[in-house]
Amino acid sequence: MKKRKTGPSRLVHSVKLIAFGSVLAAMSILGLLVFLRPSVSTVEKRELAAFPDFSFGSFWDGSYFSGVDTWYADTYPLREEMIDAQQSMEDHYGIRTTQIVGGSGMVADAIPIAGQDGTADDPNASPAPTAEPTPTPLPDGTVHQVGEFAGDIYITQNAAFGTYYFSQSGADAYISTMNQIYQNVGDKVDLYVMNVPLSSAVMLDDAVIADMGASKESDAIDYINRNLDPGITPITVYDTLREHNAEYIYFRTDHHWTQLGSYYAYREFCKLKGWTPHELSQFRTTEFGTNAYLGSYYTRSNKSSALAANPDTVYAWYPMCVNADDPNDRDMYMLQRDGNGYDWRIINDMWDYPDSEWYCVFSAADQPFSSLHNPDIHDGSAVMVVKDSYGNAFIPWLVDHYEYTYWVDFRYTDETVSHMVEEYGVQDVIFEAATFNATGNLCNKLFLNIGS
Amino acid sequence: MVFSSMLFIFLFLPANLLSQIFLPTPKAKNIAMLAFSLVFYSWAGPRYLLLLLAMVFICWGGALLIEMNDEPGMRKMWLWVTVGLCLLILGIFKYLGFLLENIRGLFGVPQVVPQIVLPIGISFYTFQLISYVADVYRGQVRAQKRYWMLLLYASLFHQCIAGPIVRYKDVNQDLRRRRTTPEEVSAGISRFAVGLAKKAVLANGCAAVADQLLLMDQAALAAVPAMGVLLGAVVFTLQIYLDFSAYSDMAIGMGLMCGLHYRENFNYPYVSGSITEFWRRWHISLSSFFRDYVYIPLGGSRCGMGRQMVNLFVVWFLTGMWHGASWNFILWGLYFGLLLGVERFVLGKDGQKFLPQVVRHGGVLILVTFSWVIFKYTDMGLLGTAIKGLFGLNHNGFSSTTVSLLFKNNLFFLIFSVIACTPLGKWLRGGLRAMGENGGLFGAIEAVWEVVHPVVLLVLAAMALVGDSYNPFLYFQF
Repeated sequence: MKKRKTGPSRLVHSVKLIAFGSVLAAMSILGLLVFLRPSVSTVEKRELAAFPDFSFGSFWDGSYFSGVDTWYADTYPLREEMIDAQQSMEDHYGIRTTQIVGGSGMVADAIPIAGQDGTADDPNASPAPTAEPTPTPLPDGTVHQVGEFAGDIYITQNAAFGTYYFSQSGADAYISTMNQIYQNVGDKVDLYVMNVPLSSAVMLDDAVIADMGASKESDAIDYINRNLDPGITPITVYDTLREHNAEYIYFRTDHHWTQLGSYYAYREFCKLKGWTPHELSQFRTTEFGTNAYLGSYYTRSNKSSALAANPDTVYAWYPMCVNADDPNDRDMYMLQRDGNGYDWRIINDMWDYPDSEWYCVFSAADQPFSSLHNPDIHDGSAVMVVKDSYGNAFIPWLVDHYEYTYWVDFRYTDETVSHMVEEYGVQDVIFEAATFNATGNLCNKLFLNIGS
Repeated sequence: MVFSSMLFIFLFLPANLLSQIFLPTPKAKNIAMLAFSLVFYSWAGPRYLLLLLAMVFICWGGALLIEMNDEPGMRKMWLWVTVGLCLLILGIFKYLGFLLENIRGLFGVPQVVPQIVLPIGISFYTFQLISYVADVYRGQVRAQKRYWMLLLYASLFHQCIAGPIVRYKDVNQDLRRRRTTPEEVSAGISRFAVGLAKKAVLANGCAAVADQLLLMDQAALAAVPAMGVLLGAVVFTLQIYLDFSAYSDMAIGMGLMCGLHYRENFNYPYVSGSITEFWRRWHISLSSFFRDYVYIPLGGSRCGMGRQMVNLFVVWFLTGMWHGASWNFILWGLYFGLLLGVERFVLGKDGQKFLPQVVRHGGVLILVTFSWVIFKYTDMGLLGTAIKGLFGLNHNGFSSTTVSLLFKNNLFFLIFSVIACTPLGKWLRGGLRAMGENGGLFGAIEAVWEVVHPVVLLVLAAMALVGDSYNPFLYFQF
């Protein structure tokens, strides 16, 4: 009897060749359709790789070809759809009800405890010197591209929480800068310092944070505050945020606080000023990206499906001094990073912006300089807010209390606080920084610049 | 260029396959294949191409001189001159910086150590050329008279930069007479697709996990608890096999699609019951190279125990050195030399059989996993920290939330990766084939599987490769 040949028939092999060849050919042709290639990724907030310019040097050392490789993969048509499919597949890699994303490999320094760092009993003492070299200021004119968040992300119950890692040298550099600013302008203005914690510090159990090897952010804030010059007034927001942590004070899919979170900080500031804070009910309110806002944690977590299932809404409260009804009424001025200035709105309608950028509705987002004149006040009162992006949600509460409100993003300005105080004649300076920025080594050099 | 790049898969490879399908003669196919190979090799910078051309020229001329001479002394002389020149060039480009660095460490001179860039694939093609010259000397193959054909052998993009180390005698016939059948092309497609998915999905996925645990910063690594280092070591063990064997799979698959037959380079090494068996299954082309061209010429195991131990030491010192100019690779090689010595001279075959099978397999996995930790860290400080961490000596606890979450978040993926390192898939495939022999339902399932699986794997790999380019701007600009 003739033995049957094992394995599929020649027909099956032929069909297989045609099927595989067709898919390979289709994807190859797709790759050749240059006009379909995207140039920008809105989700990743970056321009995709451009086709490299040819030079003999880049040809000879291979960088030209590696540029072509990068361009081909980075701008492949249907790239974002393929990435989404890949992320969906990765959602099934394991049990992901609670996740850790990032793998930053960051290590926290121990936070000195009150009474053991030689400063608690002696408010005039300088922070203990650290082994880290003192950072040198950046040269004038440097364009700063500085991070907002660079730790790991812990995702649980469809909400993301960034982890905070204390840096002794970073904290000491920040404290020195604040004290230096006070030395420079303390006789002319009241200086306030506000450090905003991440949602993890406010919402999560301390034991969870400790088990991840991250730092207790409230201890870091305490360390900063007790080492500040006694002439500086800290705006301590941690406790009040913790008291309100059942409310919607932090986004689930973004590393920022909501404007409601910043409202409780505003109330703390009012206590220090002796003001009666405005009640929320006094403001006109609106909302953006209703149940559709997926912020930075979503992007950073490779588009976690847990976060996608629980998107945010950006609620905004209009200052009483602005016209909430007319979207064309420009109430503020902003100077962009490219040097162009525009009239803008402090709560700006962002409907035509990508879904991932709704936090930018506040205070014209991160610009080198912005200002608002309150037409209802005529006492010459003025405040300067030096801030990172957390300050954006906070500023709208302030503008109803001052005739002039100025704000600068310390990552994008080349000005010094001393110069700005001189120029704008402000009475109050609020230096706001998220704790991870305040103690992060990335920002140290910028602080030295602005504090000089 | 690497196989696991979008440009390679969707531009270079289809163009190459078209040339191999439509060009009429073996010579035309070979000329096209040479052109593709030189472009492939030049992708990292054409300057390295000059070195490849020069080394092929030396070996081409050397082999011809060996073959032309009948006098044994002259033949041996030309063998040593040719092999010596190859090793000299390899030594200069791969080991001179390392050597001078160590001399400077001991004696303070030279002040400046030249930073010599390692040409891509030099270790692979040097060994291929040495094997060719040695085989000509031994009379096992005729010297290639056409320079470009030897250049094609050495530069063949399937295996030039990441192996396997193909012997000239294994591909010479194929290069001269290309024959492809639908069955072989079909097998090549499957093998290539499996390799591509293994690399893009599994190996890269394992790397993403391992890199979060086996950190490259001293303080950060010291902060990883014992279970973290252990998990990192296990996942890195999976990664290195999946990555390396995937390249061999792709090379073998592309070879089959073009009528070239390369030998297997991996044979499920992690199922081995002894270290000796492991090295019969791991990077077979390298271990057989050292066996045939170093160990046996030194006397192999047909000599006294002392000499055998010296031979073993030499071979494993060189094996370690081959993997990189760094002390950790030498340590890694000697570690395996020591284990093999213990198996051969202390345990012996009877001693090994005395151990229960589960102990033998478990022992091999533990010893091999540990070896990859040595392999991972070229920095001896980091290596020391990792080894201490493995034994919980960094005083940072047993585990942490981060480690347990990382494990849970990737549990199914890791289980699948473990299975991919075993012959289970091959057995299942064999079972399906046996059941489908007589047609019927299983025959239909097998036919569908045969057609669908490479397409699915290709798409999954493309998704993963594009996903790797996903690079959210970490420093959000608002």
